[in-house]
Amino acid sequence: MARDRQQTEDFVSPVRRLLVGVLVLFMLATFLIWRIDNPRVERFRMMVIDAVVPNFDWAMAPVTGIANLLADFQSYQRLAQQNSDLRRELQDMKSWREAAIQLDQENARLRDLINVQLDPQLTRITGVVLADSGSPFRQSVLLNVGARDGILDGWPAMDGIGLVGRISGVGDETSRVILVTDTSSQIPVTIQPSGQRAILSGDNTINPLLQFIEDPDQVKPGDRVVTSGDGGVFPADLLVGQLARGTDGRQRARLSADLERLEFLRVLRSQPAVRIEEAGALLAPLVAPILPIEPDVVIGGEDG
Amino acid sequence: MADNTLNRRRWVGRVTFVLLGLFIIYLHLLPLETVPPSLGGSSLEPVAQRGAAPNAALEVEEFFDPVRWIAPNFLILLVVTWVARRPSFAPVWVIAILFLLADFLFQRPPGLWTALVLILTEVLRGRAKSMRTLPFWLEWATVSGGIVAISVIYWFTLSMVLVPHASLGLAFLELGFTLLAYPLVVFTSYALFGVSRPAPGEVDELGHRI
Repeated sequence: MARDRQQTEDFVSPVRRLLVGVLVLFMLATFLIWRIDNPRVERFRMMVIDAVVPNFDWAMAPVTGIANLLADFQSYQRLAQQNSDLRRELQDMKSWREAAIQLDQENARLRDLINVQLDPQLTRITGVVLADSGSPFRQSVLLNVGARDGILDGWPAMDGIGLVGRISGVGDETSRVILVTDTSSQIPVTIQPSGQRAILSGDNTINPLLQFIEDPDQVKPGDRVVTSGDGGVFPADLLVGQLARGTDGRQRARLSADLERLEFLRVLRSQPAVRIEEAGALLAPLVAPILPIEPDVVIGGEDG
Repeated sequence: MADNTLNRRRWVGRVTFVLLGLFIIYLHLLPLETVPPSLGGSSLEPVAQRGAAPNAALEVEEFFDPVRWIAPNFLILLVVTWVARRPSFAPVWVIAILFLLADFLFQRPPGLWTALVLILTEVLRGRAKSMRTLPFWLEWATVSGGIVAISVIYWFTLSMVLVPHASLGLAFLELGFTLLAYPLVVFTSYALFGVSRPAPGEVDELGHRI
């Protein structure tokens, strides 16, 4: 087929073929290196993202804004319906609020009684969502805060209400938040009020799975799911959502955070939990007690 | 004179190709899709809860997921269309850079998909001349076969090196949408950017027939 036409290019094509081969090999080598030395390549990836995405930002912000505006506009059409819904909900909320205030006061009294020491206040950094993962199979967003702002890997990110994800990958000006819906996200949680421990693991659906519940009989739909702080990565007691039973019969969490509209995220500066590394020393007084009668042996107080 | 216009056209085509590729990457990155795709319906059983008021009735809350579509993989469609119809507009190094960038930005394992796409485009490039006379549905079938083949290889390689990857159902859905969108991309490329199969008798800058 068409051999005569290609004859003139004959001295070009072998070189070209070689170059293409080298290119393909280079790509495969990149993949292998990524597989072998993942953290280094992921750092490089973060560098690339850090260099590229903020440049897109001027074009992204207005388009995202307009798209959100259109979505808002669509919701205006259902205004009357929403209004009545909200009224009804407000009525319900008022009674909830009364209940909450009462509980709060009771809680404060009880805390006072037992003299409990609370966690130091979590401080936070607010970032704007720059971009998403660009693929339907990965769930993550890119924030416009990074190492420059003191962001560290592993810190939790929340929207106004609930947990959204955790920081994984920090560039100089950007950082990536792996959402709790991503398949690589596993977060230790507690289910209240029964206090059962579980792992919240994303499976690329809007409602992540709750796995390894110690005693599934003790939890029921509607229970609150909060982070447990196990493993020392996450602070405890961040709201995740509600427990619900999936139609496939597995326990899932209905997220409190609104993943549809991620605009601003709060990154919590989570203080690393103090670890108790070694076994305690011998409990002995630092100075030898003065005894009324001289003992035969002198007690060495320092060694222990 | 004719050489010059053809040469200029080629460069315009290449620049358009790069810009289109970057534009598609940019569209994918827009933070509008922060929710996993779903087919609609309800994945949760309704929850019955008592209201806060002392004698509130039991309220049943039902949950419905709206349908969230998966976008076809337009980047591969763009590349495949342009390579099959006008190989000279889509140089191999541009494809390599575009896809490597996309791999890095889209959180994919870097390099593997790029390598597979490079191989596919080289195969198509070699056949571009003979594909010129094919009826459209045969061209569609050839291209589809190519995309399916590299998708399967990609999937198997990821399984083999134990990289966690998407569920098979979603991958199939995306692949299906991608293949269905091919005529759309061909038409858009032709109508807006003039990417047609070279007419018989058209010559390149050295006077060879292309």
